[in-house]
Amino acid sequence: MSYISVNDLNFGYNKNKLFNGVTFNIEKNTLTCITCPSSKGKTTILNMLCGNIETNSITMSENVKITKITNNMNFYCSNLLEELLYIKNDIPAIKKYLRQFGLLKYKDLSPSDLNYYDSQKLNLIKAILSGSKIILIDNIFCHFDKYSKVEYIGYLRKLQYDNDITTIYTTNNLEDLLFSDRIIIINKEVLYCGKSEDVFFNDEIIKKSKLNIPLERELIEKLKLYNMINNTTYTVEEMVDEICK
Amino acid sequence: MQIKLNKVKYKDIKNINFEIEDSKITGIVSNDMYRLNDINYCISNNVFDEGSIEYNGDRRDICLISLNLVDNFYFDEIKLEEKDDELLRLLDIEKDLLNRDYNTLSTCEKIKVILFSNLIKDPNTILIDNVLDELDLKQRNKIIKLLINLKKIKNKTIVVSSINIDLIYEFIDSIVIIYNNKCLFSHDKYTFYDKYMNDVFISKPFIRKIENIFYKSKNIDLGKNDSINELIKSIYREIR
Repeated sequence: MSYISVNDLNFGYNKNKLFNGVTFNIEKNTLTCITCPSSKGKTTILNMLCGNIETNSITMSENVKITKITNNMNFYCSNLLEELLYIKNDIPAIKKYLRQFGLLKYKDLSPSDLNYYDSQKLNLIKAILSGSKIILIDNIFCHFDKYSKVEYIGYLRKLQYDNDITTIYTTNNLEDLLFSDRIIIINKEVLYCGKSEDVFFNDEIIKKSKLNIPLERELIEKLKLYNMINNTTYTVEEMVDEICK
Repeated sequence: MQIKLNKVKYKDIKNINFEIEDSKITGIVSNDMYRLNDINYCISNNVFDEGSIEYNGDRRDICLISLNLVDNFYFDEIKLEEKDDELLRLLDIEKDLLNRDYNTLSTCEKIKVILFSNLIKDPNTILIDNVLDELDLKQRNKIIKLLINLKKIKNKTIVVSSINIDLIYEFIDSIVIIYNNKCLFSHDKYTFYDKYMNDVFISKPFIRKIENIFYKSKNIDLGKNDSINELIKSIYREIR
């Protein structure tokens, strides 16, 4: 049995059907990306996975704690140390994670004084300290710059290997898919379920999924359409050389 | 409405000086979403620790559509009039959506509902704070198209904030860069790149980067382009 099994999920609000027989599995200790077009169920499926919306279509092989991380920040204490002591009374563990995530220098600061990226790191530490084994991340990467995104994924990978944590994140952006072990693309039904590298060059799937594509790719595709370049795999400099031949 | 910020200090942001031009679209870009939230909050509520904000009009005529408000929005019952049909169509909102429980709406639907409920009041100045990043391409383009029409046809003053400069570069008239809590640049969107070309940590528009590569490696001047389509036309014109 898979760690998380979604089997024949059917759900919608009023006449608007979001999921029509959606079936997929998620294995333990993986970083999985779920994507769909806007308003087609990214947040809803995470709400179902964490139990906020009841459904009989989702089963888990182990009874584990799940934390959902969103854009909303709920901080209760006057400084980071207290905020984390509120979750778990274990100062060595708290200091270890603050150091690991580069937040030890802010331990006496109020959580509301952190920038957005550091706030999301704090949310991740709270999830670990609370004993969560599944972390759900709802479309936060679109608010990170590219350096923060790569660093945050690095933290998630470390948690995956060191703490046996399974992470599922949602996104609208094609480039964010590449970080994951596996991608699930849903548009009422499962359009694709597999490796991230295979999707990147599948134009048909990308079109159906309505993912936001990077400008580099948009430029390359249009240049190919106008027969100004032949190959799709380019660095920008190679593309310029090819155009100027 | 023209709005001028003079040496504004609020929370962590310091010495913010820039001007929002009347009937134009100003883009504000930062490396931190919260700084953008703070600046938009300052402008819409005339709140700051030091400095001053000058409004060349009624400050109450400003509406703020912010990601912060999405989950805390109080959705009043809206009495629809015939003139609202066009706005519903432009925002791709079905009338049924307005009768649904707000908490069952997706983030994209909530953003569109908040936008609709503000725009029917016909504000003079519209602040769009970090919401375009949340949307997929189709929904984002609809809203961008609406904002451009509001500027051109109804002379609205619009401020769009994002951490991703490429998202907004095409349709803004001027740019403000906030980096590490300071206002680094406020000016013509074409000249800011030349000044900060070598600074790795300030996100630069992709189109400018391509133009620069053509100029430096091939000595080809593609001019100043706003969009991928314009860039391709310039490439075709210069190369072919």
